[in-house]
Amino acid sequence: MPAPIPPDERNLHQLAGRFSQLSRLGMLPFPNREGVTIIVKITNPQWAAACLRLLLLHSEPSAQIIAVPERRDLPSLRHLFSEDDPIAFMPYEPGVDLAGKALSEAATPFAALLEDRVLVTPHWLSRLIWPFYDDDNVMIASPKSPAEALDGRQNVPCQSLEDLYRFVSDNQHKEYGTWHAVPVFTGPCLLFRTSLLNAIGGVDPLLRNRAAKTADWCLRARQIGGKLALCEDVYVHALHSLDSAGFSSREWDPFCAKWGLPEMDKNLSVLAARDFASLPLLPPSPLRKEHFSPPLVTAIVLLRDDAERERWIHFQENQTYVNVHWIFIRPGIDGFAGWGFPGEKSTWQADAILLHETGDWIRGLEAALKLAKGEYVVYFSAGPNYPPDYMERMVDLLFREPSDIAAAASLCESSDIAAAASLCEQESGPVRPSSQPPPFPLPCIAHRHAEDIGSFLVDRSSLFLLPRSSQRIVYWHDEKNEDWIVGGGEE
Amino acid sequence: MNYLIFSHSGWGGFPYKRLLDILPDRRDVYFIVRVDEEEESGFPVKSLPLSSIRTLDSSEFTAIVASPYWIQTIREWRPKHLIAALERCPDEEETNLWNKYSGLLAGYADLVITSSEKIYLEQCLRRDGVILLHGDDPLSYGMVTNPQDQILFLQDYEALFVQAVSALNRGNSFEQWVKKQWELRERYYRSLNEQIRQHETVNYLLASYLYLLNDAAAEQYLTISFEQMLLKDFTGCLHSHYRFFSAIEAKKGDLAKAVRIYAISAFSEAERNRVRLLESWLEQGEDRLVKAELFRVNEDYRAAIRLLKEMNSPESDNLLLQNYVQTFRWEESLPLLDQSRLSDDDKTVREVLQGTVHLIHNERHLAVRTFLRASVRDWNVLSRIAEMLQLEQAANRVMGEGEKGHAE
Repeated sequence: MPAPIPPDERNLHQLAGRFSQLSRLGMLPFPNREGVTIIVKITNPQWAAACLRLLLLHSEPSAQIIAVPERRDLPSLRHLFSEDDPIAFMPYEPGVDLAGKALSEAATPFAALLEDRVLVTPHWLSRLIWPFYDDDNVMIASPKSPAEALDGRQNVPCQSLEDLYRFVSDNQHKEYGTWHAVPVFTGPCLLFRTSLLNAIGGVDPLLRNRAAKTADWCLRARQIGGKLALCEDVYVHALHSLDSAGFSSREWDPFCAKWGLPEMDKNLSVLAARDFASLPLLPPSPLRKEHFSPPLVTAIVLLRDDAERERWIHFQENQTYVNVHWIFIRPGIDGFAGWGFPGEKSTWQADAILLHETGDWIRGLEAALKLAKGEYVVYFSAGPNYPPDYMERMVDLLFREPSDIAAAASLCESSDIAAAASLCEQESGPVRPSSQPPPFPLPCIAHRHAEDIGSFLVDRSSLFLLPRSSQRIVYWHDEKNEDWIVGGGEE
Repeated sequence: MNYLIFSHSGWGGFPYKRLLDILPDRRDVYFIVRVDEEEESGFPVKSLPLSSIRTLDSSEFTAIVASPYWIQTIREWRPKHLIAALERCPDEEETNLWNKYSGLLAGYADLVITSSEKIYLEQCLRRDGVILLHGDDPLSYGMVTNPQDQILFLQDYEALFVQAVSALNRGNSFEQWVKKQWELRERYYRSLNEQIRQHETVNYLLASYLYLLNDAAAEQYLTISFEQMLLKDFTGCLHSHYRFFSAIEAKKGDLAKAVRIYAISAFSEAERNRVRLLESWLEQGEDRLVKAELFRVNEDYRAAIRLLKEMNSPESDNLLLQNYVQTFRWEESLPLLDQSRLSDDDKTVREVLQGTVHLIHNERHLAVRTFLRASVRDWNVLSRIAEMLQLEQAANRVMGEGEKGHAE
């Protein structure tokens, strides 16, 4: 005769049976009344349209979706959705951490951060949320997906959405309710407690790829005792890009420097192998209000004479960027009387530097950098034909990649390129080490405002910046097709 | 863009049905054979009898041609863009005829697609614009929404096909996608090489893709492949590998070394004569001719043609001509032949090429007359007339598939 089941356990069995029955019938309510804020980073209009549609279809009605553009040239998707759909589309702002801004405004106890490559499946959210109720220490939960690098990596080979649904439907009961704590996540779909943002802040904007940013954020969550829950019963599909260049250890340099690693391995296995959580607590990356509006940019304008100033002035008037600190450098002793500093835009500020000796540009530039107040520095001269959105695009490049220097090669004058080539030879001989970036004509670059950005060079009448080899350079390759090529410090 | 599909053995045996679902910028897709109602329901494809193609405006169509025997129809109808789908010769077809007209069809195509990696690599060494319809990466590289509003996930090669065809339809270059596929194949064989080290074929293929990508590391993997083949007593590799080494050196720019390597495997009289010619060109400083000829003997006609097209001398024209003949670009070879002073043998070759071009252009009588004229010098040319009849029978067979279906 079997031993009688104790009353408590019997109770548990009965409740589990009732729960299963309700779940099968789709009658289980979502365990959270305040809802979930779902932030979707938009990179590809076609993917985003599908991603948002599936989110609307498979998320609880209380979920609020905020779509944040990750690129400046994305078309609006609003017309694809009705006014009643709970989606807010944030406008693009150059140099602004839009996902951080959206997170800082999230008033719900839970938020999800997704890339538009993620295609969610039925019940994704209602299953992903349970580990938070099972264990108060769970801070972040993630589904399995093909875009996860470590635990939780799963690829369901499917040719269509129908195939995907079939797989999910066939497998949905197999691991129902199962999750386990993992050392780290790297993937593009996370659900987390918004209280975590107060403790460790947002993602570190200086890290260079999503996997590094996610891993860093998860490890910081673990440092304060948080658990990371991998839900075995949720699979979301993920799309990949042909443009992906594959693993690059240089991409991980800032992460490795931050966490004391010599270098990152191709499979990222070191992330799971090391006990990062026991390392001394790293500082949070607070979500600061000043990051939520276009940052101040110092524009250093190099003008030789009145004629150049005349040519330059219409470029300046057309610049659409709003938050600018102008510094003018010109030779002469008669001051800037009659130069008419820009005062039309209330947010613009201006300073000036006079060169007493005509050739003393380098001292002038060094003085200008000391005066510079902006987070980024952009250089101008009267030569190149700057488009009106030039500053926006340079700030965007520096911020999004993120990189130390942005170079707009297509704006360079041929004489400057020839001079740069001859400078290359003078500096390092005819064979340059591949890690050494070339000198860049100053009027075609922008950089982060940092202590040691490199050295200024002058050749005949052209000015150049020779960056340090460790700096990351992003090239504005072709202004017509927006085909950015990341290079320089990469290899 | 509208698409018109020419199959080899009807809808049932058409191997690219999935591609029809992911065609970019599609308006209408017509299929020149009967599509069974039941099967058609799953695919948004319209049946079209062959006789009706004259009613279509060919300038609004991209044709996908999956049999070499449609070549005459295609040359007559002249679609805006031509995609040649090349496959290995089916068992029931005559290999020489299939391969020859596949080569000629590819010569006229804007883009070549194939699921055979062997054909793919051959074509990549012959021409620009080749896409392999095969991949080893199980991930989804993007998606499309088909006409029935279903979301389809693309494998890497499908995404490359979509991008390349989309660029073709817009008149843009699709070379970045071609190069991307070389990079993906290179990455695949590199990872395979990490798993199965020292495998002669894996190393050879890795070297091939590195060569296409102009990466000097090709030499290192070719060396491993060569050593492994010798260890396994595959001595026949001497010729092929030395040619490949020589082409790699030519790409690197060390032409004297490249010629020396070529000379090692130059056994026949003709090959030894070629070595002497290469050496004399080297002495005269004709580096581009040396390079182009070394590319040609390694069957890298693409690189040779690219180089020779920028030159303009009797020697370069002569080499260009040989490259055109070997890559089935016969129509382009004729003006070059006309410029040359021809030996009797050359005249026969010219007539054979001209006769075939007449045939492809549906100028049957001119073709017969040209072959007969050439047969006076060389009676072997008469076999071309027999081949002509073979082609006509084969063409009637593929056309019959369509008409039969519609007549039923």
